[in-house]
Amino acid sequence: MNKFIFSLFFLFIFTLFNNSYSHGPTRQKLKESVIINSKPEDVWNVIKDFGKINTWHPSISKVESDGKTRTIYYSPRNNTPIKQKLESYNAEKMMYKTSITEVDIKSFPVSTYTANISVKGNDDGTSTVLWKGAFYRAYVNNDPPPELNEAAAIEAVKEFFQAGLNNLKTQLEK
Amino acid sequence: MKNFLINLWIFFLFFLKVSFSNDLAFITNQLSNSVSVIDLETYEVIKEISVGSKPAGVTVTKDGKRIFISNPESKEISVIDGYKLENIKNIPLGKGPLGIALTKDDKFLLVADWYDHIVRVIDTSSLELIKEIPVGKSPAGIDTDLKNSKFYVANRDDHTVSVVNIKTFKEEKVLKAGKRPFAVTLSPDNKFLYVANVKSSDISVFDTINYKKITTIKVGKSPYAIAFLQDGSKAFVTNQHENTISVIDTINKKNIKTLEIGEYPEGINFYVKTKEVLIVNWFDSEVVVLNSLNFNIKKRIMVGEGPRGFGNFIGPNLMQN
Repeated sequence: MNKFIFSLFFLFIFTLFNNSYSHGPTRQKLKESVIINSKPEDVWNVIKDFGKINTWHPSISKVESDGKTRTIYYSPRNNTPIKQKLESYNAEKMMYKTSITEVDIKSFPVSTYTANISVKGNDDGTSTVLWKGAFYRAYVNNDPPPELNEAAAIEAVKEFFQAGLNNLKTQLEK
Repeated sequence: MKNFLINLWIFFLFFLKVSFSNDLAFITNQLSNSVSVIDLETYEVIKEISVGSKPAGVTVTKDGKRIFISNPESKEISVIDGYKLENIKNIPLGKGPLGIALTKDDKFLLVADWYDHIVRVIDTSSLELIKEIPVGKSPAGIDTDLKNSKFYVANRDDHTVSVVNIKTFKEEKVLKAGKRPFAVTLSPDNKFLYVANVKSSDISVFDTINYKKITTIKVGKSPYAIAFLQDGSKAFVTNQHENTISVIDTINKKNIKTLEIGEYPEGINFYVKTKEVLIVNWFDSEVVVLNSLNFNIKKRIMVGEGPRGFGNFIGPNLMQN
């Protein structure tokens, strides 16, 4: 019996940590956008600094960044640290792409995550900010428990995107 | 002279018929649980066929009569009838069927299981499972040789490629690839095996006679799949995390060009008749038609949600006959 509990424990540890590179077979896609009554340049000015996401995203209590990577402390999920990398940056097109390099999946259940945020001007003078995410569920084996399945992954990213976009709009339209 | 002209005319008509006889592309839409069928003459989607859950892999028999689709979530293979373009059967199979390929004689369907770490062999005439071959961890892409003697499978979580004998159905050799190999593709002459390594963002090139690694070619971020020109002079690689494709000069084994193609390019096939490369963009839910000579994008075709098109997705159109 002891042996059984012991191996169960190891299985548990294994599923929690052995997932930075492996993933399930189905990648998830998420697109969130917001229309802001500001010029695209003004919107870009607020979001363009990869290392200062906490100046416009309300759910980030702290950020540590060297310009190429950043660790954000995500308040809705117990200030869990999420380590991210700047994958590509295009000031002309007003967009950049990030990935997650380290995350505690108990708090933020995603794996192999990349996201692209961009600003585009509309004909009526407003701007559209589009945040697009591509990621897998955190559970690498078959038949995931509910807290590590696809729906949990989508929920986490959606909450992160929406809170950021909504606050960006409020801040700029003030 | 009149006869000659008539003959010429008949010849011309015949030539037209041959060169324009059309083919279809079968694109697996992972997030809409369907397969989009593209007519490669008109570049229009002529049908969307419902299959199992979260389809990813695809392969088509040479005669076009059967299209096989892997559904890793519902754990089954969907069989599509090429005449009716309907899903006629779902075969339950293992825990996570993903990579899928046919032997070149179309006798056997090979299915790599992401969770069971085996390749299953299905007899294509009876649709019965006839063998299970243990390979490395999380096997993904498969390719088969022209002589029906060997197949190759990328073991993603073991960083290896298994070489399996098709006569004995035994693993003969294990090749050390780069980090997280996902796709394997033989050059058209079968002399070289190209392996796309997702994590090390490069291609390992093996000699298929002595299995030595000849070279490693750096490509874009997270390469997913590889397609060769028919003459083998170039290979095209989709780079998922860079929204580009890399063009490889296979003579000098060098990456010679990087092309912006769209978001999350994944499945890629060369279409011999038009000399075009068809690229499946997962995020944009489209298939890009690229001219392989001048690298111009000819068309973008909307398909279902989250298309992957992992495998050989082109086959003859039987509907018109």
